[in-house]
Amino acid sequence: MSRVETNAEEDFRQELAGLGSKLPQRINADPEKVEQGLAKLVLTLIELIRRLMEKQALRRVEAGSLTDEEIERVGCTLMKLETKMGELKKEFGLEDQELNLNLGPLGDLM
Amino acid sequence: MKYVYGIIGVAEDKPWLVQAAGQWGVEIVRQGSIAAVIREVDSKAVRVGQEEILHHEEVIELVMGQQTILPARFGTVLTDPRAVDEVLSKYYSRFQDLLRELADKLEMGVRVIWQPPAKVARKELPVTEPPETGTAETETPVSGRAYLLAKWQDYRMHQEWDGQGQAIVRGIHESISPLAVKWRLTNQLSPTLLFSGAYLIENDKVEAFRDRCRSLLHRYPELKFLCSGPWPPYNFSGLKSSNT
Repeated sequence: MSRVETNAEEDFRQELAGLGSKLPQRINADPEKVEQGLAKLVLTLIELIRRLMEKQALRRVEAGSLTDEEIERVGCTLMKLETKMGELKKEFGLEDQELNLNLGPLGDLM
Repeated sequence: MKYVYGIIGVAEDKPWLVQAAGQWGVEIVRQGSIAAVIREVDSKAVRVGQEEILHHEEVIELVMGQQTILPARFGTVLTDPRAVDEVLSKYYSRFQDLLRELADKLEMGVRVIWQPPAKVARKELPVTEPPETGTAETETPVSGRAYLLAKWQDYRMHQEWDGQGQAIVRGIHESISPLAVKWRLTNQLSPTLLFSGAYLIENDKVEAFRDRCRSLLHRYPELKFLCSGPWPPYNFSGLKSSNT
């Protein structure tokens, strides 16, 4: 009775398979890997805050409410934050996608 | 422990129950004018495999073919033997309302893939001085300003994508929503999965709905469409808990 009609079966297969891997995962409570599980949680939250700061800075730049000097300073700060995050992710063996968060109607963090 | 397939009304005949009971050990637990469709299981942990998911769907579709069911999410297990009665008592009037609301209705799904515009005209950062070092094309910006410029261009590009995508989504939804009673829409589940919609429609509108989806193929030849169903009304049943 139920049936599927599509003009791109393989594309949808791949797309839906990709979504499956984005389903929320639990924190890894394996005693051997608890450090990585916690690092993942903490880094996810830091990444969320970093992105919010970045978006706010871009809005202020767009609105013209920052001087050139402030733009340089904010840009440098955000750039260093991103670099530091990269180092921490590498240290804990985490990929960008592992720090993803589903923010409901706002979509995914990454 | 009881594995729950869904909630039904008990006023109707249940020829499906003979088959489901014989084939899978499915039974019903009645309370007043409603009942839970369940099966006794040994463990709370439900194996998540293709076979198990298809079995869940098969039972619900068997019931759906003969009467209205509020489908439970795959893997819903009530651990306490009294829990089924408690759930039926606690949500009795809510289940009755939902069964009335969903009577003679089914769910259809629509998903759309698009190719986001690859290039958007680059715009300059709205400040007076040009970047000291590095540009948007530079892979690793070396000044704070160049870094922000690269981020800003990325941000603008996504804003433009959103605008174009939303216009397409509006057009699609406006075309199919007149055939539906209710809907649930999710936009941009991924950069390419532009739109995912669940539409609650009356039983006799299934073919009209499919025809409308087919017409969208001609209207939007650049998009990829998937129209599926009819499904049990998972997105409208109000049964969301699992492993309670």
